[in-house]
Amino acid sequence: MRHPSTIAVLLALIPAIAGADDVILKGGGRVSGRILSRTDKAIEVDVGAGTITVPMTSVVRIDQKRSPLDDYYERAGALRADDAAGWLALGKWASSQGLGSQARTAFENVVAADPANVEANQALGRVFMDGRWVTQEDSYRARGFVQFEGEWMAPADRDAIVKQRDQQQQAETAQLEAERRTREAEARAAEAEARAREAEAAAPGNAGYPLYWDGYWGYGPPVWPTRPIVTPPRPTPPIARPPARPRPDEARQ
Amino acid sequence: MRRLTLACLLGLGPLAGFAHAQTVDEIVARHIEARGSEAQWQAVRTLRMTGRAVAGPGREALITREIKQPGRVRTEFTFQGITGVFAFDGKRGWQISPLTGVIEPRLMPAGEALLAVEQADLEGPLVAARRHGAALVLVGRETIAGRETFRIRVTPKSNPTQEHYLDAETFLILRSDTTRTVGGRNLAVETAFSDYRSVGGLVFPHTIEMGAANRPDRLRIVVETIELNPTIDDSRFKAPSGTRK
Repeated sequence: MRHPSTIAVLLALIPAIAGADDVILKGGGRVSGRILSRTDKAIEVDVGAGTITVPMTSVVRIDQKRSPLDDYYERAGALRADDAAGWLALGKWASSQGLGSQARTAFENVVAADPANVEANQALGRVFMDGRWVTQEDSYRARGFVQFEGEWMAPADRDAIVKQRDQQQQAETAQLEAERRTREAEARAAEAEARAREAEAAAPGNAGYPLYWDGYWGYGPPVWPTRPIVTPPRPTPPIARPPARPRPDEARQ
Repeated sequence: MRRLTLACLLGLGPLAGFAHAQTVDEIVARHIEARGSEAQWQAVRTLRMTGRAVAGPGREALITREIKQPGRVRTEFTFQGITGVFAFDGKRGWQISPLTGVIEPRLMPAGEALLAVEQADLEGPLVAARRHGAALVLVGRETIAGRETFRIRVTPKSNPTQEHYLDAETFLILRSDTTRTVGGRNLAVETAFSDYRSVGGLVFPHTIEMGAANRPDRLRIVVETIELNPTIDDSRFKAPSGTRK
């Protein structure tokens, strides 16, 4: 007879595996993840970093298959929180599969278990400054950059952008309005910067800045794909984690 | 005396490349030679590259680029299990980009499609420039990342001016600069090429870093595989039926 807890774990795994699908779009586009709901008009898919809704008119077919996301959750579920080497390996694997959000989580787990881990810190974009690892954002601040509309730049660059916009506005208005509009633009710039900081705090690493995709490598999206139609992940964890295994030293006791 | 002569010769050594390649035509010829012979390039009718694009922590995508002569290119960009397609069939550019809200195939704006025309050339921007009737000028010599380079300006007929910095010893491109209109303003955009390696006798950069001048963020592309002359069906480049403007 099977133990009830074994059945509970298996049941918890079912949604992760049974719902794994590739939604193939016209022209070769693809959305891989777990289908959360499906109607005649649209399909909602959990892609691990959130959900995406695809109209059925764009869908060519749906291939049922196990996705890398399922493999990630299964492997993550088997890891102890303090298994830095295991999380590091999983982070690298997730990275190789294009699962950026999961890779980031795995590397954060490495750093939580082993704060000085060089590979994980570097994978998280952290920089070693003045004897400690700091976030990429803090390193940019330390170098004198400011964040403006989701992008890091020199203060002079930001000021030039604001000035250019202001000049465009001035051209459309009467000369007498110029001074007042400059003050407003400065206030807007400060406000926009504050908003950008808030947005950064709310969604680290998901800013959607321009990619400047160019050169002779081919052309791609104009901005790093972000949240426009991806809603944040649901709070419920996808699978139940098995209970932590005892450490070798605990097992001996 | 002998020591002095030797010292002079050693001192002049690095300049030998400059002395033998003074005109832009000669530099471009050496560049083509450095990447493989013209006959070898002409024998490549299709190309497939795969790799990763990294824009920062958690922003890592799988990418595939396919090229088929004449002038067709398709880039697939997979992030978090979602694949977008950016393609040019030789006449029209089209895209599907689910993460930015473009789920139905849509034609690209003419300006973006024009950029694709140049990028479909296998031999790189200098040969492409020649083919498309752009003007090439040797601006001068500059030191880039500690390397002596030739600075060549390309003025295409329609696209923005480009400047390419060619290593004076290897004649490979170390950096390319151009301008892009982003958010209604012109930005200086830099692309650095490194980790050049030979594949089937042809030399390709395997690391490409792109970003705006004087800004810290960079998009890094790491090329992992390159296939020469794989089978690629024409349909890969054609806009799907029902593609909207």
